[in-house]
Amino acid sequence: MKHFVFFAVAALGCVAPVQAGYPDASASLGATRASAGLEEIRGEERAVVTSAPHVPPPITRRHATKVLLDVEVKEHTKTLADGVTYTYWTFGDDAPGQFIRVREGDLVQTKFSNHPDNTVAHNIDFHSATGPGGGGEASFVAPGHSATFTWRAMRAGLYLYHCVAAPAGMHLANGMYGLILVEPKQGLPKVDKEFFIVQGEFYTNGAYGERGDQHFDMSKAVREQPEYVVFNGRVGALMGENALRMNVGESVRLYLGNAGPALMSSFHIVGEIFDDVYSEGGTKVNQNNVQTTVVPVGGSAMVDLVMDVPGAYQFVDHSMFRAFNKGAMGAIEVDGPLRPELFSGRQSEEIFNPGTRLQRVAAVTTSVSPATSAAPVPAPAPQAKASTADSAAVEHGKEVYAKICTTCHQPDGRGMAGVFPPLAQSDYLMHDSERAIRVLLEGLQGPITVNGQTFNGVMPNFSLTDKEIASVLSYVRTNFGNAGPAVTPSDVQRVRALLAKAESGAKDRSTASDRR
Amino acid sequence: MRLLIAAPALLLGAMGLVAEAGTANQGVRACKSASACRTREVFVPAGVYVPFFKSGSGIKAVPVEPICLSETAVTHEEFLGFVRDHPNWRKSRIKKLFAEGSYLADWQDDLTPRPETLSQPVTFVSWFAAGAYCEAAGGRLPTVAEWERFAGGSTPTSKPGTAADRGAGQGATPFAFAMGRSAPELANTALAFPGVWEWTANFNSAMVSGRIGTSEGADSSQFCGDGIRAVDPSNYGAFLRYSFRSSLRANFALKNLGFRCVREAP
Amino acid sequence: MNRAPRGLAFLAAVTLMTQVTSEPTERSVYQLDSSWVEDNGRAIRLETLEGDMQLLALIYTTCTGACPVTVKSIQMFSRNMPADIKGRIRFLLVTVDPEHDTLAILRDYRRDMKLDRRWKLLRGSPEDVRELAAVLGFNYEQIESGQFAHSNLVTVLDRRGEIVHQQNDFASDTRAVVDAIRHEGGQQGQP
Repeated sequence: MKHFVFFAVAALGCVAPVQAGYPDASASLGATRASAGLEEIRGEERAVVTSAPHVPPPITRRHATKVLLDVEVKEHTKTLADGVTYTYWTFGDDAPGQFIRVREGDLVQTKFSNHPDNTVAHNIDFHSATGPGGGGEASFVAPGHSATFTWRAMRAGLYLYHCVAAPAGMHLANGMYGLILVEPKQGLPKVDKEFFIVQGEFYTNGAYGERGDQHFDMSKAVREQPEYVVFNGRVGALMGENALRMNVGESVRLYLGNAGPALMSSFHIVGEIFDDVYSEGGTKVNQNNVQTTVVPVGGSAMVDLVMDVPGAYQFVDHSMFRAFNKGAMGAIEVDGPLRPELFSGRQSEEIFNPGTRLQRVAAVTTSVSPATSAAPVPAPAPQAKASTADSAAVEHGKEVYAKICTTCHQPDGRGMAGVFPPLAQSDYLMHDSERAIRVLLEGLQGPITVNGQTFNGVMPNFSLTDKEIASVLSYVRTNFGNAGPAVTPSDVQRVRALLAKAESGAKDRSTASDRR
Repeated sequence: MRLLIAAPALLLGAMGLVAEAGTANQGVRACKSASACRTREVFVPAGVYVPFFKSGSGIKAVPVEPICLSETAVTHEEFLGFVRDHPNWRKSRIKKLFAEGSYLADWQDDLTPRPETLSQPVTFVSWFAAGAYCEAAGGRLPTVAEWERFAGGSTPTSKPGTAADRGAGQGATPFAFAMGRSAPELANTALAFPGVWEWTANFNSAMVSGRIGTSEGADSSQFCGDGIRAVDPSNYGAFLRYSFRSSLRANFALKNLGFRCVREAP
Repeated sequence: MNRAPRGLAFLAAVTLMTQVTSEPTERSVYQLDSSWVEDNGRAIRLETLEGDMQLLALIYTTCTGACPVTVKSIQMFSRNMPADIKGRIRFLLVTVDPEHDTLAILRDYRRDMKLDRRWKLLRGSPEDVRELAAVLGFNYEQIESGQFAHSNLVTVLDRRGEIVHQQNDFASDTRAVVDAIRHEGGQQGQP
């Protein structure tokens, strides 16, 4: 039976007429002859890749070639922060994966391998590839297997690559991302130094900094609330001895990526300005003199700058709590001669006391209406009747008040609602002159009630002299709608001595006991 | 649905990959109640499986027949017994169609697993080998519906890595919960998930996860579109399982992939 | 080159080959021990397909989406193949829905789709189909009664039944298929 079939097939093959019009099957993806619009591919070479933060050298060849690229996925427990480990899923055994540099027009033959020890299937999506899934479907493989596919770098620019196996957000959140630069045919403007920085998030079950082995937390990921937002895969990856090093006057290009998976980045170097920005990793400088550039999730940006002044710099995602509380911070060390003509650094330092700059005589107005709500606002009223204090002391007290007290208690003594108690018609002030002296000698903290309102702040000890205390108390107790006996320096002296004795008596006396 | 019931019965007859008939005569015992299950088996009563992915007309629960389920994955020791009795399934004899080169990679030779692994789940076994073992033991591999019913558990909590989520034994990874967690009604049984993926009879029905960008199936799976079609997109344990199944071929023999068998009523 | 001597050489080589290869090779799909029935009622085993290359697709007759496109594309291909590979390959359709696709239905399908004698339509048991699909990497799942979600994978098997080429979208570009057939044919005379 079989034989009959074979003969029949053979016979058909022998006598069938020639069919015309079928496309030439020798044309294929890797055709060496130039097809319409596509540059001719000459030769082949292995891709040069580098680990973060370094970038392969600029491409010098002037033709498109076939690039042989091997990408391997390794699942590996590594350090995320001090005392914190996490099982990363990585390209090339680190997050971010290696930086790949090819030229516009290159044919990139990618062999994608999933290490046999890995637990899940992975793949790769090159944002630089135009074709279904960016390679995601072509490269999808189980552990212990690899797949090869080829794509042509049609467009120059800086692109992210990342795993897109389901659930894709999780693969990204576990570290599966990197950058590929497709250099334009004519190359990019030359710079002295190049680095790459990729921002990414980690959603750990434990809080930021919680020690031990941490795991992916899906609910945090869906809520887009990472515990970590970091540069180059871990807290401090670009700090300390791993800070980027540059010299004054060097031109520098930073290749920036943002793998997300959720948060856009506002990239800023504290104390520097980007001279040229290639927004979103395109090939055109479309802005100059930029302080902070956006790096979209799943996108990139390139910035060119020159470090002008030596010293230690930080760069951040300017969403500030990410920088300070989640790890989105890195460092740049710039060496070189000082440039005092550009930035002086600290030139001088002095005490600043705003009291000296305010008006010495405040026009005080007071009201006789009772305090029914927060901090009574005194309405215009005649000056309180004179007390037995002599006018010289009161005048002196007025000066002291203007210098020390107005900042908080205000020129009219009304204070600030909920924050600084009023002195105007203040029951607390007038109730007990010894207590008033004590407050000025020791300061005051803890909850108090003034005119029916509670205040719980801190009043510092201003280290005033007996005379100053007496004067200012005399002043406030005979002004601002208050009418009460003045205070003399000897009163102050007496209280001071009492306090000293009480202190040495080894019993703390809290002013809380003065609460009404 | 008839397919699901008919298939296993026919499987026993038609899956004639094993020449020797001796062990097959242990017989398929009726398994309509717990008492019909052997020792070290768990009775899984009839139930439903809600598929992870919405089908064309929405969410459709699939009825699952009662089965007797092995308490845990097949061990190296048990598999050794099988290849002793069925030489065609030994490492040196097996054909590439039925198992790739890594078949029993961690065994020293045809009949020598590493001693310290004897009671641990056997891995580096292909779908064919797993199916042949189950047939020889009077059973078959569970279907995806059956497996997800008894081992899909509930949606993983936001805190994996707790003792309840970690599989015991070798191969426990941070995602051990994805590798199996008892359905709530089986929580008090001896059902164990020792931290390996498990073969299913129709693993190649999981075609949507991971096939990013192809126009496959009655509904096209678009780029990262799986999440849109999943009934519960936050159940990333299920995503991992379906994605993993999608990447498999029948002759794959992987480090983290083992199996267990089920038996059901004829 | 003169056609006739080439044809005879081919016949001789093929005859030789079929007599030498009585056992399927290690990777041959024909090692599967399953039994199938053609739409004309004849029972066959996979190893009887040896000796011809096969272009294989899994379909079901009530499929209204991808299957008709695939089948028609293969048909168009079968009519427009380059002369030098014409006749080297046969066409094989296997139904994933044996419950519905009886032999009578398959015969109607053959007639409606105008499939000539180079085509075989096969029906087997559900788990034989599952097994064959698993070997090919063809994924499918019944989602409703009579409705399946499935890949569009088309497979080229060489004369020994080993997979030499697969592609997901047969309609758009068949150049790789032609290459695979041509390359296989280039091994004439070598067992």
